[in-house]
Amino acid sequence: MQASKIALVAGSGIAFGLYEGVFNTFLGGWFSWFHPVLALTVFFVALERRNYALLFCGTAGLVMDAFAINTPTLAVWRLLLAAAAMSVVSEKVLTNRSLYSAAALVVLGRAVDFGGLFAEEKFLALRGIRADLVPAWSEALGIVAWDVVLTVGLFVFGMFILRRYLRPRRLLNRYG
Amino acid sequence: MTRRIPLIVTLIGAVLAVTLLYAVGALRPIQDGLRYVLLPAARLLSIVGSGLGFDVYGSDVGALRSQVKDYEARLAAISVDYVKLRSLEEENRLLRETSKFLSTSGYDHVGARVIARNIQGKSADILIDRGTDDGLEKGMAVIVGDGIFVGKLTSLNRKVSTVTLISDEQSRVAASPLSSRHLFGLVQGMGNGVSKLTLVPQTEELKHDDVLVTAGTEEKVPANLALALVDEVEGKPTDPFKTASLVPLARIDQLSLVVVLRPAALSPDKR
Repeated sequence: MQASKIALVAGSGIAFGLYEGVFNTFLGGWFSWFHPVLALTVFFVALERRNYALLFCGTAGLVMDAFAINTPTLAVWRLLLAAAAMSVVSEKVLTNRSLYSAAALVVLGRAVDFGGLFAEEKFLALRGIRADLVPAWSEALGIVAWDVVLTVGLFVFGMFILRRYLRPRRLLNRYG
Repeated sequence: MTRRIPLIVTLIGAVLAVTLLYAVGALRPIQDGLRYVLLPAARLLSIVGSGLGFDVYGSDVGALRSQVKDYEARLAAISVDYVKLRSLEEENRLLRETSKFLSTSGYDHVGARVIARNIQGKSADILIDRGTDDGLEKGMAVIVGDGIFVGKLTSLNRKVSTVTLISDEQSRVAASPLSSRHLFGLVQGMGNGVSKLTLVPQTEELKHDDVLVTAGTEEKVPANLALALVDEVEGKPTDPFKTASLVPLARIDQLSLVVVLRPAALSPDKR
């Protein structure tokens, strides 16, 4: 990984972590369900930039944890777990890089994320600490809907922009 | 020739490494550093975010209209009391001025900006941009406007602190009526922006529109901070205690600036 790219990805992670951990908490209704970090992680995973995916969700998670209001939400751990699950499924199962597989990946990632929150909530409850971490059904569905919309949007953007300006590797091999 | 490490091993390794870092608390200094560096950006985002004025609890026009009518009726009912209160307030102001009440009350204040909030379901907490570096401690009272109590500090870091608001399910505040000023009940958070007065003995008189204030029985919460208005009193005469639903005096879902009351002895200037 190049240093400039690392700085760019880590910087984006910090910016999106601030969005999700700080700015998002002031929004109401549908807008508060917009959590872009996971969808962007899927984008990196689908582009087979798994190191960038880990770096992006790691930095975003650190910022989200730094500004967590109650108990630490273990955002780094949850996001890395989600990125790991998405990477494995993308490598072994959903290998066709379609729009549907991207949407399925983000839904899987969000399920892992909610699973992590649920596990943390139960763990804290065992220690006698009340924490309202898992969102209500309506909110959870809203978050997943935004995830899918954003992932699809990113892929359409990627299809038009990245394919046009990035030369595929096989052409590079053929023509030098 | 280098051998490629399988993907699954890398990922499991990353997740385990982070789990270990959490367990030994190695991420804490990094997070403290991030808070220190990113606090100005967080303040800026919170200013923009609160400026957007989103209503967390929704804004059904019909419900708001009926609420306005209700408030107007109440305003008319309490206007007579208000005139009396104003004259008492003026008298009180003069008394305070002469006795320099504030300088001897043992409290000073720290202004703080809300940089994140979690107001959903049974939770009602905010994160403010002041922490132990500003002499704050757990349990201190947080107020808005003209001394309306909104919550207590429940968790602190060097640069930021968490305030549990009075509607949070975990919140409990000792309350007294404005008129008699003795401990007579507990204001308990119920979630969804609602709080309730509980454990009021049947012998106590309690009616619609009574003003509740802090009882002052808690170490770091001064007495006579406005809490809420009594809405509906519930409970049969045979019950040991009365309860009452409350009308909040401040919009906790739209807080952007708050004040923490700090005992003067804890002020960093006097340490």
